[in-house]
Amino acid sequence: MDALLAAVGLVCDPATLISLTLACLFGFILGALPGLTATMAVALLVPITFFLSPIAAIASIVAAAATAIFAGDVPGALLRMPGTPASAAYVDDAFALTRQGKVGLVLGLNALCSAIGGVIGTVVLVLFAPVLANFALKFSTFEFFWLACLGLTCSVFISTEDPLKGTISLLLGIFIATVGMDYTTGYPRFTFENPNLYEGISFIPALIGMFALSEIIRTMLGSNSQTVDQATRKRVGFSAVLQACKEHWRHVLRGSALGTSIGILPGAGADIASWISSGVARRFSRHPDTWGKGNLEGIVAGSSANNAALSGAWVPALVFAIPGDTITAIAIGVLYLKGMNPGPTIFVENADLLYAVFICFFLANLLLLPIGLIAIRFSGFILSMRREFLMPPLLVLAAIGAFAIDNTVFGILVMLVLGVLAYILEENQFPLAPMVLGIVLGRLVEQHLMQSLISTQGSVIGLFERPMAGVLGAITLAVWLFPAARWAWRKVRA
Amino acid sequence: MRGLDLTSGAQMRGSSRIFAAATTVVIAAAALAFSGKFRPAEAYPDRPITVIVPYPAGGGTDIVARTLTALLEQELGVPLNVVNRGGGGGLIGTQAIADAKPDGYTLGVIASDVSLYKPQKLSDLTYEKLTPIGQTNELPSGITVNVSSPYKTAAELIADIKAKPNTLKGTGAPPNLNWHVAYAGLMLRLGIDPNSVIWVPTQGGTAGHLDVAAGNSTFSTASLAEARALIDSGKLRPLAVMANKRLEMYPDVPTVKEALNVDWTFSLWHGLVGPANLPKEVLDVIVPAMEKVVKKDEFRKPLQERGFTLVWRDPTAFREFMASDLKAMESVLSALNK
Amino acid sequence: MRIGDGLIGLLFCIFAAGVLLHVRSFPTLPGQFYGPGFFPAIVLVALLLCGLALIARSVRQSPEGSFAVSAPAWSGAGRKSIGAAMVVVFALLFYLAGDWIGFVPLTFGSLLILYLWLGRGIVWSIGLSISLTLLIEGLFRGLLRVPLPEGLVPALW
Repeated sequence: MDALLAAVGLVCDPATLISLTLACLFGFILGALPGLTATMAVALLVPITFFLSPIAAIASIVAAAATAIFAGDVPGALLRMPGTPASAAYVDDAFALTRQGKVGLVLGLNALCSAIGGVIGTVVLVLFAPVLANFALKFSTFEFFWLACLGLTCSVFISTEDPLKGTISLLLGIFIATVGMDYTTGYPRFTFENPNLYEGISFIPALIGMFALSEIIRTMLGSNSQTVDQATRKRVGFSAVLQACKEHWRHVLRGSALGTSIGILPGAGADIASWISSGVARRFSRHPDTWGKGNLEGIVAGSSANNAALSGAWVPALVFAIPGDTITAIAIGVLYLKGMNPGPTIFVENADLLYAVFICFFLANLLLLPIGLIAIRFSGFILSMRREFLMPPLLVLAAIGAFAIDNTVFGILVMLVLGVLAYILEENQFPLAPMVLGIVLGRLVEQHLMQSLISTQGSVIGLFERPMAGVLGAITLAVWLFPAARWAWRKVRA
Repeated sequence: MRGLDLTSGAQMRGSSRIFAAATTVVIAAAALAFSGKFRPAEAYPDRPITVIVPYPAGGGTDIVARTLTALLEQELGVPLNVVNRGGGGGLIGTQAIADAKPDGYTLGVIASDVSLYKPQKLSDLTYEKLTPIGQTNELPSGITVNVSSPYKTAAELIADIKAKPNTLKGTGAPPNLNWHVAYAGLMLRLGIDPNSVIWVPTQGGTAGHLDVAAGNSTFSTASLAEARALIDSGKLRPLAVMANKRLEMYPDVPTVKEALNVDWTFSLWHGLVGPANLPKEVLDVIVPAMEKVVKKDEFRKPLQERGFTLVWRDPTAFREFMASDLKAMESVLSALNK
Repeated sequence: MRIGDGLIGLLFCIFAAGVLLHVRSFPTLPGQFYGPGFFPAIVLVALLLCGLALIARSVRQSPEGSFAVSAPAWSGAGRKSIGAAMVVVFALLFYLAGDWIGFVPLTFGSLLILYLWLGRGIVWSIGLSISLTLLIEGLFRGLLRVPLPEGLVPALW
């Protein structure tokens, strides 16, 4: 109990609160700029954490990350350019809703669901961290392989209009992920002798190209230059947002649960959580045909999942110093720097600091609500401008964002090539979502497949040997074969 | 849409205006550009120094670099800007350091991967294209097994490896990188074929330890520091450490020499370097400053917390060390990839 | 830019087949069952099959448009298509010349030319370009400490 009181005291220190708030602002700016991610926001904060107290340092990281993930939704809804990869999963629906004048509803829902998802994730973190971490330890490369495959199947769920083109998109994405040094031998594949490609095609510049650059090209062509008529812009009160949330409570809960779980798994973070949650929501949706045109379900499911994943990622990080995602990978370094060594000792020796960190988690996620309100106010300003006039600075921002990941202009080339490719694909009715999923999960699938096959010395049956792997494998195969079986069954009956 | 009216006399006015404006802008820009070139020379350093880190922010090298530069700033009196230039396993950033102008205003913090590029045939880049300033730390490799495995000593594990070729699994790194080379070098020193153990490649030491904890791989040769939380929670058991001295963190864990009676050590290491042919005036300022910094508590403590072993080598010793490191890596990798 | 489904399918087939041939040259280590080409080969074969399916479907459903290429958005847009092309050109310029010209001149130049092309007046365009350049530079170089290449113009902040 005293630890808890001490924790409150630590949090209420003005330096901590100011750092928290400033970090939120910082995270918002970075998340809202297409191409700059939550991970980058945290990375940029590292030198600043040198000068902060341990609790202020961790609080800043948590706040910046949570706000950045939410902030990515803002340009996605306003401009169809997701600010972070996690927001790309539901960008089509969000943008469609803005076109219908419901920008207040969209952003409000984003903020509310992000806050709820983050809070639920934090509750799970606080109550069950050690138990869950122990469970996560049982996941070896075999289990991860099947999980990654299951994740891939979500791409099929998202592209029901044209499964063939969706599959091609997916395969293209997976192929892009194979560029780079091979996992088993280190042989550089498809790199044209360019060291910049040894580690593969950088994901963030690719995403900026696929969403931001292609959208800029499209806008300059005038293909979608309808500005939102201010008159149709409906004023939505907070009660309307709450109402929508209540209506889709199943998606909120499922999204938060899925998000937290995916965050707990080492290596899978907010973006994967967001995509999978949206995919699952679509699969179980009662109105699948309205997707892409303003359906709230994907937004609700995705928003809550990505913030929940942020909290979930801290479970293995705090208990075993194993990063749950790229953000906690950096945060673990900061923990060590501040003398808060993750591991069993942190729960004992630094209990008050730990509780203070948890309180900051709650605060950071709750702060998303007022920040969301501010974002809504600003949205009117952005929407009132003619879309074309926003494009020049957005182009510069995209180029800088592509540069800033590894501080090399090569990122800009990646952005350009993938942007043009994505533009042509979308013009020909190829969905982009599976391609993104392919790039993100393709690496994981191959990595774990190869690791597993090496472990079994080539035996494919070995992929099912471990009990949990066997169960997951069976589920994955069932999910894949079920539609085919159903189709065949229908044919037989007819 | 309101636009430049291209059909009337407005066109003539419009375009000549544009031309005038553009010319002014170009002249102004040129003036700005050249203004920076004429500066009276002052003692080194008289302006900010860029420190390139060939790895992404937040990683081990980055933390070392930022800790070092934060303190060096105070000694040198100028800001030190850390720039992360990840990619190619550190190759891109290290090459950037080598290619920079040797005026002392671009330096870098490198890691032991620099000794692997040439043996891996990725590039010709070696320590010879750099000027060593000082080594800061080491991170020794280790041997770790799952706590429920039957091996209580390293000798038992080695015996089992000899007895059951192609059955046991080792992990900790991608092929031909740090901890894999640590493993291979040890096997070669022991006279065992490294290929008698199935090597499961993982992206990083922590992932390797995770695979051992999950029960897939038999042992991991990543550093003990990366496994600390897992060891302290009783999931993993350290058998040996590939260093000259036992670790302060785990005084009960024997060195490889004690446990297996062979001379083999392997460590990841970091150090501050500059491009080749750094002038003497620069070194005369930086080296003493750095020597002072690495002895400070504010430098030692954060690195020790992270599990690094602090090691200081001055430019000459550092160069010798890197030379022997490169030779060792070359011999291990050529034996591995025969 | 509309490309007929049949043509797209064909392009994917050619791409997949070509890369598959390249993949066969990947070395395999003696002890390993699956070399670096294993996984890409799976993906490429699947891509090849899908490409064939696409050609088949397209020829079956709408044989006339299968192999057509048209660019209605581009030819109909007139000057706008040049604007869109400029976007690509500027992005390319950032890549090719970013390091030696520097981001400040490139930012200012691309903003200025694009705004002029979009029809803003000359005064407006210059003013907007200057202020945006300063803002962006300040945000990235100053606040976020991103080392944008300086090139010809040294850091303004």
